[in-house]
Amino acid sequence: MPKTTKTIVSIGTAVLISILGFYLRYKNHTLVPLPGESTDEYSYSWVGLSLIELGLPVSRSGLTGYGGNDYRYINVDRIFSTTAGGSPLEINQPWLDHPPLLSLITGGYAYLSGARVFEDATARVIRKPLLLFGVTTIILVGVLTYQLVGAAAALLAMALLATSPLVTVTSRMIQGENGVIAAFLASLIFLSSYLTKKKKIFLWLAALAAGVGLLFKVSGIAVAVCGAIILFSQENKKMALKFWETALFLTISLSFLALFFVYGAAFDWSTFVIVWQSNSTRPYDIGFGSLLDLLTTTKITVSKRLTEGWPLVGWISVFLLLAVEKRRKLFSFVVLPVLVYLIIFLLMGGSAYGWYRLPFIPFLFIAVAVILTEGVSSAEKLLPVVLTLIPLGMTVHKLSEAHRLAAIIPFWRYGLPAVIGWFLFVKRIRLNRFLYVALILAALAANVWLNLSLTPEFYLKIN
Amino acid sequence: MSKEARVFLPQILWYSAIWLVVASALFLILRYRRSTLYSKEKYEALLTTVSDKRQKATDPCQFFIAGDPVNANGNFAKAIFYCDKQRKAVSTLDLSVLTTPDYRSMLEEVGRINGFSTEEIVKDGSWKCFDDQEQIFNFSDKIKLKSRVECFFNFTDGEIRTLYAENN
Repeated sequence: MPKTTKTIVSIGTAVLISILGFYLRYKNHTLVPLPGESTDEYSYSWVGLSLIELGLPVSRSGLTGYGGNDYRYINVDRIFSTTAGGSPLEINQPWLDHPPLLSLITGGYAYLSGARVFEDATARVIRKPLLLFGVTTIILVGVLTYQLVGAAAALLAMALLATSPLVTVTSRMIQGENGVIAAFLASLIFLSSYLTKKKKIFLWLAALAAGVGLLFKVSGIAVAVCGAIILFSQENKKMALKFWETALFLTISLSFLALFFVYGAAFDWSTFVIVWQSNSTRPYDIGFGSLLDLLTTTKITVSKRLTEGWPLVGWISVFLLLAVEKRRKLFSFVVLPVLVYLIIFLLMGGSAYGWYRLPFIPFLFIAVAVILTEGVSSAEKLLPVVLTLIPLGMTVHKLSEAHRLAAIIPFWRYGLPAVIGWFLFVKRIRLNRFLYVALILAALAANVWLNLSLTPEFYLKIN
Repeated sequence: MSKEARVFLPQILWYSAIWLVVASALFLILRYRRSTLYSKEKYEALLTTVSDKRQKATDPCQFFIAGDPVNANGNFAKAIFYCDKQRKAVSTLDLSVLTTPDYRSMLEEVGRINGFSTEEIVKDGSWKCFDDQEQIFNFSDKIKLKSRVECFFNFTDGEIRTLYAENN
């Protein structure tokens, strides 16, 4: 195929994947996750709305640092008849739990949509901006993967992120991590451009993107730390140059964190300090239990799970890249972000909450895409086949809870060893390649089917 | 000074200077907006105004507050509405949300949360309300902790007595 045609086909496929990703996120976005399942979603938006209307961030927190709470029943989306439980919300002012960027985006969007009181900020309104975040993230994953390995892996990484039911559901949620992900990917894309093209504008853009990540949530510090490590560990560069590049990057990115301090000081410095201390006294989460939980469970909130195999395969792929990958760029831009965020994740005691895990996902999926794409050209396909069968099987299992799939279960049961046996013993290159690609496409199709099956009723039933 | 320092240091210094200006402006703007926009009345309205977009309840039994206020430490009351012989709704309210802890405020707050008007309950004669089986005549009376406030629509005294007898 000529190069131009190949490029057009790739871009066309990327556009189609993005449209599919948007559609899957849009469908049932007001109902799944259930409104009020995490009141953080309203909390973020109320901060934005109150900043606009009162000039003061007001919202619910629950952190002990605030001292006194103003207890209120704010029955937005009728959450007190459904998901919120019987206790009133603990309202605090000034609310300084997190930096205000996501609040200003969702609260600002709600205000522009006509919301004037907290009850107006319904899930139908405030989740809309997150749909755009979701699609942006799909595109950014595609761009970064393309820079690192090429078009095929980029398209597969995009397809995984666009269709993973866990990701479609969690990307609708108003949680700072969804902003951090976009900033993380953007910063790495600009850094990668800087390392290859040597134009200083990319260094500035990478630093600014890392700074924006810090305005979504303080855990966005992972973006700045990761960028600094990448810059400082460049090979074949003078130490002085590496030092000054890193210094510029950190000055710009961390200055956004300093802006959060200015924001806190403008409202109430003593409350800001107490809330900061309150946030930083969470239990340090390292230990076998929390690590095993991170690797083996896929959470949406604290208690709600949506079991899916792709993140597990992602972790396996990251370990594979870590163990055998000799290409430095893949380590710096896929494995390193996972390791840096893992440290932040453990320090913050984040294993209890589903949304704290979100920043891992794009990198896990890029790792999967790299391993599976390499499997296409590789003569030995058993490992990538098994890595595809794990999530496919888990998704089919979930689908069998929603649909009557009794007829295909025997095929699955006997087909599984048959497929593994085939790839173990039969060495017909073209046929095996065809079967392998068909298997990946079947896994993606199963993802789409599960997404389309995720009505509120089915969502409540599964775990 | 090294060649690299000559390139990067001025950029860092310029950026820091611009940051200082932006941060100072942000600080002043936030302070100014707070002093001009904030008032207790606006704060109350923001938190308590019922959204026009929220569906109004057709009667007090259509919606309810599910679950109990687990952190209320006994400072709660139940509001139970009997809209006819078949339909009732139970809501439990944490009384710390009330500025005036009387029956009227409690019923009004439950009405505000669930989206119905309490006018006809506290004024009209079509509803009869009881606290732990004693009729409430003055809704301005202070509410007792852990009360069980039950309001009946179109029930005769005999029917209410029968209901209580059955429940006991």
